[in-house]
Parts: sequence; C-alpha cells; structure tokens
Amino acid sequence: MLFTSIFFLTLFLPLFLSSYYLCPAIWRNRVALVFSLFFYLWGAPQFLPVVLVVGAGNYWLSHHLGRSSHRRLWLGLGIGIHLAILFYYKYLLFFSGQLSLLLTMLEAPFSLPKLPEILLPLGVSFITFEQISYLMDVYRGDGTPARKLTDYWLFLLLFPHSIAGPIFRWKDLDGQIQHRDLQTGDIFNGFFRFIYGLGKKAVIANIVAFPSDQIYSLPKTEVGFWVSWIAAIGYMLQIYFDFSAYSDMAIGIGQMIGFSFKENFLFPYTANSITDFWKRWHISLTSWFRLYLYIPLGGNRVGEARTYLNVFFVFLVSGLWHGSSWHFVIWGAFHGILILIERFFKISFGAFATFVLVLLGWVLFRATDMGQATTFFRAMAGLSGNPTIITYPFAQILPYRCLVTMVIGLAMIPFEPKIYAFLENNKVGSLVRWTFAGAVYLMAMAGIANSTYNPFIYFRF
Amino acid sequence: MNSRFLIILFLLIPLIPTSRLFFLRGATTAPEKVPLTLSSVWTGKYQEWVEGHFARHVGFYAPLINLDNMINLAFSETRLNSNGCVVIAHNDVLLSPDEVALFRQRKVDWPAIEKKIQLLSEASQKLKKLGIEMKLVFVPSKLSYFVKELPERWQVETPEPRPGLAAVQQAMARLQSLQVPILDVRDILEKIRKETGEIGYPRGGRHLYQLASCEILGMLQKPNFTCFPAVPGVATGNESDIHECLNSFHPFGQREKLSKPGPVQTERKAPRKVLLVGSSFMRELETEARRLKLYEDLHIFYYNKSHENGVSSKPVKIDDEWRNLIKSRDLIVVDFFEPQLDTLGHGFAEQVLREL
Repeated sequence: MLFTSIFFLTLFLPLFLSSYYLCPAIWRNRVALVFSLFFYLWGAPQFLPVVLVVGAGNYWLSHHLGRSSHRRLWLGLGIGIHLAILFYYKYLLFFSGQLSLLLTMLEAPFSLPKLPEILLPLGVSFITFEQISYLMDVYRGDGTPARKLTDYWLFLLLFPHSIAGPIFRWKDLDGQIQHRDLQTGDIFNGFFRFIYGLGKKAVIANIVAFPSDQIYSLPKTEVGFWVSWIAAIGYMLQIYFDFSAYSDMAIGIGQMIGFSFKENFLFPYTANSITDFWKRWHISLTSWFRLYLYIPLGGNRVGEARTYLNVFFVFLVSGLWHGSSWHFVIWGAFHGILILIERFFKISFGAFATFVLVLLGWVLFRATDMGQATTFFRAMAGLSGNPTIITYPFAQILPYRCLVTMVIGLAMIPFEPKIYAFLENNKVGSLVRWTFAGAVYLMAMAGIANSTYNPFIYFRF
Repeated sequence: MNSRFLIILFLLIPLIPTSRLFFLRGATTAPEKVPLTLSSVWTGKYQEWVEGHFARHVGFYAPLINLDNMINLAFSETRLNSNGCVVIAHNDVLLSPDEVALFRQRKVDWPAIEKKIQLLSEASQKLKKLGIEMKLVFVPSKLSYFVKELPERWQVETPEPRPGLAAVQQAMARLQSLQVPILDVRDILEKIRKETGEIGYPRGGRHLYQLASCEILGMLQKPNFTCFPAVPGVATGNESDIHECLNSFHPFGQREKLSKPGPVQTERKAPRKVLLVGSSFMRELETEARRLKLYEDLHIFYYNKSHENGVSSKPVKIDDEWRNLIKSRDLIVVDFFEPQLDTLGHGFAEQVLREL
C-alpha cells in the first residue's frame, strides 16, 4: 500500500486517524501497532512473520546483552544474523552471479547451481539497519532496551516509516512511544506537511519522471546531447521530489499522531560542497553510516591515510546498500572520491559545481548498468556521435507539462525553506493554508487516479 | 466537533459519489476479480485487486481523471499516460502516436518487407487455384490527411522523402508489380472528398468513418453498390473513439457532424463467405457488413490472433477447422494499414502456404 494510493489516502489513513483520535491516550500505541501490522501485512504478508520473529529475537538479545558476560560475542552474533538476512534477500543473487562469472572466466571445471528468484522483503534495508542500530546503542549504553516487545515492534513497523525510512534510532523514539502529546497545532502542521509531500510526489516527481523514463529506455543510437541532459536533470529532480516527498509524508503523519521525527532532507541541492550535500541528503542513512560504520572503523582518529580509507569504504558500502549492482557501488565510490578530494585539498566545490557533480552521480545511479551510464556520459559530453536532438519528436520526449514542471521543480529548490516555514506557521490564515492544501490535494489525486501504478523509487532498497 | 476531524473529512472528500454527474467514456477492461483465499492474500494479488477496485469506485474517480487529462492535453498536446496516448493536432484533430511514428521513422527493414510481399503474392496465387479470391486493402494513415495540422513540436527533421512513407509507396508498387489484388482506400477517400467535401477520417476517431467503410465494401462486392447519396449524421462508435477515450473536460475532438451512408441497394449474385484478416479497420468493415447483411458467413482473424465470428471469439489455431474454414471462403480480405508496414500480412500468407 503506497502513501499515494487512493486506498491509503481515502480509506486507510482516515480510518487510522479516526481510531487513533477517538481512543483513549493509553490505547494509542496499540492502535498504531495494529494498523502498522495491517499495513505491513497488506504489502508483504509472507515477510511479516520474519520481521516479527527477528524483531522478537533482537528484543530478547538486547535484554540479554545487559546480563551476559560475553556481551561482545552476543552483539556480534546479533549483527551477524541481521547482515546474513540482508545478504540473503538482497545480495545473494548478485554475488552468486558475480562468482559464476568469475568461475566461467577462469574456466573452472565446476559451476555454481542457479539460484531461484528471491523476493525482496518490503523495507528490508531500513528495518535491518534499525535492528542493528538498536542493538549497538543498547550495547554502548546509548539507549535502554525496550520495556515491552510491542514497543519494539512499533518502533520497527510504525507504518509512516517502516518501508522507506527515515531510519530511526531507538533512543529518538523510545521516549515518544512512552509519552507524547497531541497538540492541535502540530496535528495541522503535520497534515499540511503530509499534503505537501503528496504534492511533491504526485504533482512533481511523477511528471518529471516521464521524460527521463522515456529517454533511459531509448536505444543507444538515439541518445544525443540534449536528451541526455534532459534525462539527467529530470531524474535529478525526480529522485529528490520522490524520496523527500516520502519523508515529508512520513514526518507529516508522525506529527498528526504526536510523534516528532527528525528531518531526513535539508534542501540538499543547495549544498555548496559534496560534504555539505551528504549532511543534507537522506540524513538518517548518512548518520547511521557515521555512527555504526565510520566511527567503529576508527573514524578520523586513526591517522590521515586510514581516515581516507574509512571514508571511501563507507561510501562504497553506502552504494551497495542502495542496490546490488556495480553501478550503485561505483556511484558510492564516485561520491567517496569527491569527498576525499575536498578533504585532501581542503576545498569546497561551490554550489554550482556541487549541483553538477551530484547530477552526474545520478546518471550512474539511474542507469541500468555501466554500459548505459557510459552512453549517457558520452552523450552529455557531446561525444556520442548521435544526432544532437533526436529522431523522436521533442514533444513526445518532453511534453510541455513536463518541461513546465521541471522548471517549477528547479525554481522551488531554493525556496523550499520558505515553503516549509509557510506550512508550519500557525499565524498564516487558515483559509490560505487550506486553499493551498485543497489545490495540491486535488492535483495530486487527479494524477494518482489517472495512473495505475505509482511506486516510490526508494522501495527498491 | 473537534477540529482535528476536519482533516479526516478533507481526506474523505473524494469518496463523495459523483457517478450521476460524471462518468468515464471509452472501453476499459475491469481486472478479473480475485477471490479472497489464503493463497491470493499471501501472494498479494488479492490486495492489489482490492486497491484497484476501490480506486475505480471512488466517487471522484471520473472527474479526477478528466481533470488530469485536461491538464495534460492543454499543456502538452498529449496524455502522459502510456495507455491510450493521444496526440492533439491543430483544429482538434486527434491522432494516435503510431501515426506519428511512421511519419518520423528513419530506418526500414526492406528485405523483411520484400519477403512478406513475396509470400503474399504466392499465397494469393495458391488461393486463386483453390477458387478463393484474396484481396489486400490498403488503408492510408490518418496523419497523411492531416499532416499540416501536426504541431511543429511533433515534427522531426528527417530526410525527404521520409523513409517510412517512401517504404510504403515502394511496397505498394511492388505488390502491384507482382499482381497482388489490392484495393487502394485512398481512391475511395478521394471519391468521398469530391462528393461530400469531407476527408474520410473523422477528427475525433482513429478509424475511417462509416461512409468510407461502406464504400470499401461496395468496391469489394460484385456487382458494386454505392453508399451515396450520403445523409447527414454525427460521428459515433469508431468514428469518435479517440475522443471517447480521452476523458477530458476540454471538448477536444468533440463529436462532429459528417456524412453517413444512405440506404444501400445490394444485388447479391450469390451468398458469399468471407474472411477478414487484420487490424481494427477490418472490424469496421465487419460491423458495416453485418449492418448491411452483406455476407452469408463472415469471420474475422483480428491481427491473425483472435478468431471472431460475430458471436464468439477464440484464439486462431491451425487445425482442420482452420483449413476447412479457409477452403470454404469465397473472399479473403487482408488489410495493409499504412503505419503497420512492418507487420504486413500479419503472418497469414505464411500459414496459407504452409498449411493448404
């Protein structure tokens, strides 16, 4: 069930909110858990038992950590199990494929058996990282074990964030699960934030996706200079407006039920360096890598060369987290190298160069493989030898609505802080905010109704 | 009432029933109902069906779709939805993208087309020996009549003559040189234009209009009959199909007034058993032939994939029934729709040569 499905918007969410608001405060966690279980069950019934059982095991382990004399061993075992689950579902096929390829190249006398398709559980990467962070925080004493298993399940499965983030830390939510206030102002702010996210997804991201989807499916010989740039800019806008929209909706729903989730995006395309970009993009993931990988590796306390190695390794892993394919790994390496350049030369690339470099990175990210990425880079540099425009009508590749939406999207980037301020300013006349919400909701619902399939990009991870 | 419930009411607005005021036009196929079973829930198919079913029955579904299409069409001369994409040309002419595709086509696999032409020629000879007449009907692209209306943004610089269009002319010449009987609908449309001043394609439809279909049947029928004098009418059915499936508040390509066939006097010498093979243009001929009660027995192989007889439909299957059906025909009509040059003959000639 997607946040942008009519079923969610007009049935699940109103039903959930009605039940939540009508029940006594002490029942609200139970209502949230029941609806969250239903939400996950609805989307991935075969994986709910896995999440519940592994979650229960992690809960038990977190309590056992405090009592055991082999704390380190238990922690390693717990993390190992989570990584093994993630590896099985997300990376086994990729690595076995690569190994098979290697064996063929080496003309080995044996080959690996062909593995059957493995379905990726909904939000497995997000849930795994939350389980690991919980265990490590408890081990480090940076949080106390959950008092009740149902609290822990609620932390893992709370439906606004369970399948596409943001990635929570237990200590950020623990207190809120125990007690939270429902302030009318926050509820309305959350609602407007949710509607704004819905608009970003359905009115902008889905529209700017149209040209880039079409261009990325063109044959190699059709990818010329202009279309490759249109595709790159279109995708850059799509991925931001899509993914940040999901975070907006998650944060908005959270606010509507009294939670205060941390921001996951802070206007990343206004960053003036790659380092700055990563402080603003998918903040919950970047924080996770810093706290649970970079720092345990020694961070910047282990000498300059090791620090550089640590940074680069973290970005390689981050690339692999995004997808089991080499072009994701190379995308991670690309960002890692850029950050190392900034560190080594003590420079920042500046806003414009950062914007362009991030855009080039998204070409690697969006391509289906390295061959396609190379095709696009050559075309963007004017070296493809293909026609500058295209043999397809421009109107079909870039309809006016998409062009206008791309321009609006680009223009919105520097003004987003003001838009958020407007949405959260209770002093702004309610008529203005309601009119804004009504117009956005109408446009979004029109787009959603007119489409049959509307997945979020980040569901792949 | 607590003000927070305003939010819930707001979200529920799309559930207000509006089906008496707004409705969707055009043909759609509702997904098959998925029964509630453990297996269907486990695989997620039931949930998928419920979500789709719910969405289609939300009160505001139709106006929302109309609104979105209106925005798309007003901005972009096209629908962004890949299903039923439409190009809006000037003067409310509605075109299908495959028409534009032919116009912009740069590369043509001529050896493959030449082979199809050879096979059609051989199949035509073989059927003739069996006493069966086979005729090709060349249906020109709608765009060729409205090319001046195509917005500049939709045009692409290609060398003249445009390779796609040149290949069609080459194919026509080759078919004629091999003496494959061929009926050129362009001649019929020219005749209609002279008689009524109308182009044979309605602005809001993908297909030829009824008068043209009637005239084609007149040319195929021996002795000929004529559908003139035509009577005034309004575009209906296939004549307005793109307009019908547009579902936009904006009146693009709204129903237009055009000439319809008048009363037709047919002089049938003998009952004729006919098979039509091809695209939806053959369906138009079928509809018109059934209306005029022209043939004793009429079958259609829609894209040579689905066998329809006016009552039921089943996949085309090569068996004794198929052989008997072909052998019992007096006339077999195969369409050659201009934008579909690549699939000329729909594989029917190969089957005839192999199986008969």
